[in-house]
Amino acid sequence: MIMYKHIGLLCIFCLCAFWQNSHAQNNRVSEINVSRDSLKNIPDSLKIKKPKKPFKFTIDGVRAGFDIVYPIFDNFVFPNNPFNPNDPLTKTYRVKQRYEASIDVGFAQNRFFAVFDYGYSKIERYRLGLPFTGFSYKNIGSYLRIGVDYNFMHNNFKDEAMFVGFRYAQAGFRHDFQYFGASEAWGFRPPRLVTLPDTAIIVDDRFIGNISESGLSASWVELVLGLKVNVWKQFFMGYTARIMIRSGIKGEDRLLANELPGFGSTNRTARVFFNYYLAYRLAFKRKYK
Amino acid sequence: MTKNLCIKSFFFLLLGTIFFMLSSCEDCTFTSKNSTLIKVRFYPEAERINRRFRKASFTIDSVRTERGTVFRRRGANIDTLSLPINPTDRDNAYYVFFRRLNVTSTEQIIDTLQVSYNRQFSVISPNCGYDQKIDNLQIMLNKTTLKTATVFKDNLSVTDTLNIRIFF
Repeated sequence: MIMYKHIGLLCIFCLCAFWQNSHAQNNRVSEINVSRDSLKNIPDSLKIKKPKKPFKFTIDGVRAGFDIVYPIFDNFVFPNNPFNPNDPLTKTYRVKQRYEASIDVGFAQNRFFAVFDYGYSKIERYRLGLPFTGFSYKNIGSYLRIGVDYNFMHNNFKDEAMFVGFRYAQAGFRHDFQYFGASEAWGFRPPRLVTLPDTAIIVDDRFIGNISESGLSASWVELVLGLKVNVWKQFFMGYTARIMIRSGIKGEDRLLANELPGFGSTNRTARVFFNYYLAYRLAFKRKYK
Repeated sequence: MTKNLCIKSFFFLLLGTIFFMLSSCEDCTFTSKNSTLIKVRFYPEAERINRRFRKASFTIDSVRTERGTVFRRRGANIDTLSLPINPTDRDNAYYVFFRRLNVTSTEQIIDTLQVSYNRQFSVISPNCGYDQKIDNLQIMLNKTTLKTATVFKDNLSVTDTLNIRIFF
């Protein structure tokens, strides 16, 4: 079902992108047809072939930005639900802190962008409200993405872009798992009230297990599609939709990773996500004709 | 330029909204096949030699762990037993069998079965909880009158009917 959603989503995106591209190209085609008609009567010997102008790999500008999807998701769409000792009826708790910054370097007259993304992720999951059993899982790490985008509207846009590209990403992280419960067969009994002559105390014999693993890493590749729009002066907004395919996770021993920083849940090897960036562009060179 | 910007903004908002709407939240549909119980069956030593493996009754008073009791019924005749693995993060466990040669016997025999295993935890989601996969089950008989024990299936699954054969 989720796969169909992703495929549908990509189809919509591609249709939108190609509609806009073809809309721009139709205007250019009509201009070309007019010029072709006027050239029909000119002898071939007089026709001058216009050489293709090679583009130069000069740096046009640097754009630095940050993602706002993660803060919106983590604070408004699925708000954090930190552990509250005064609310014993709540069974599950979740805390997510994710941030991402992005830098792209535009070169070759707005044709290509070298992209560098860096992100930090801290995810905590708890199940504490049940009387006898529960766990906590913490996953902390960072990730780096590098890649190249090609702006297929470079003839139409000066500083803006509609692009496709690819990324290679690597994440490093650690995770901690603590679990507790009761097992009569092993003498770990649930909390109980023991009455003494002058007082009553709660005796808790539940077991606690701890697993911590560090130095884990994972890598993945991404196919990206996106848009960068100049909204005001040198400020840009834009999004990057990404299809991510991951390889194996290195360093897992006694605990399988539940999350990968920058990738998300490890339930699936392929995921679709998108980031929405606010950015500022520092232009180095402006020689468009 | 304004028109282009409007068109672009429209597509941008449309796609953004679709992505937000289609973002799947966590739901729990997980069911695990992994088990934390070791299924043990008892056989007379002759069955191992003849390779017929017909299970037989084993007279037992109790089975104990370090701090608790797995089974307790004086003079019970059983042929199959489920032993829960150590719930802590240790990867070994031992079980002490207090048994008799037969129901009428008054002499109590104490045997110890030690097991070790590899255990791998995975967190599914807060609602689903966590899972643990146990494999590479190995056994060692200590301070025992039991003849021998063999591992029949070294990874634990809820569909298992037998993991360890004990011959007495």
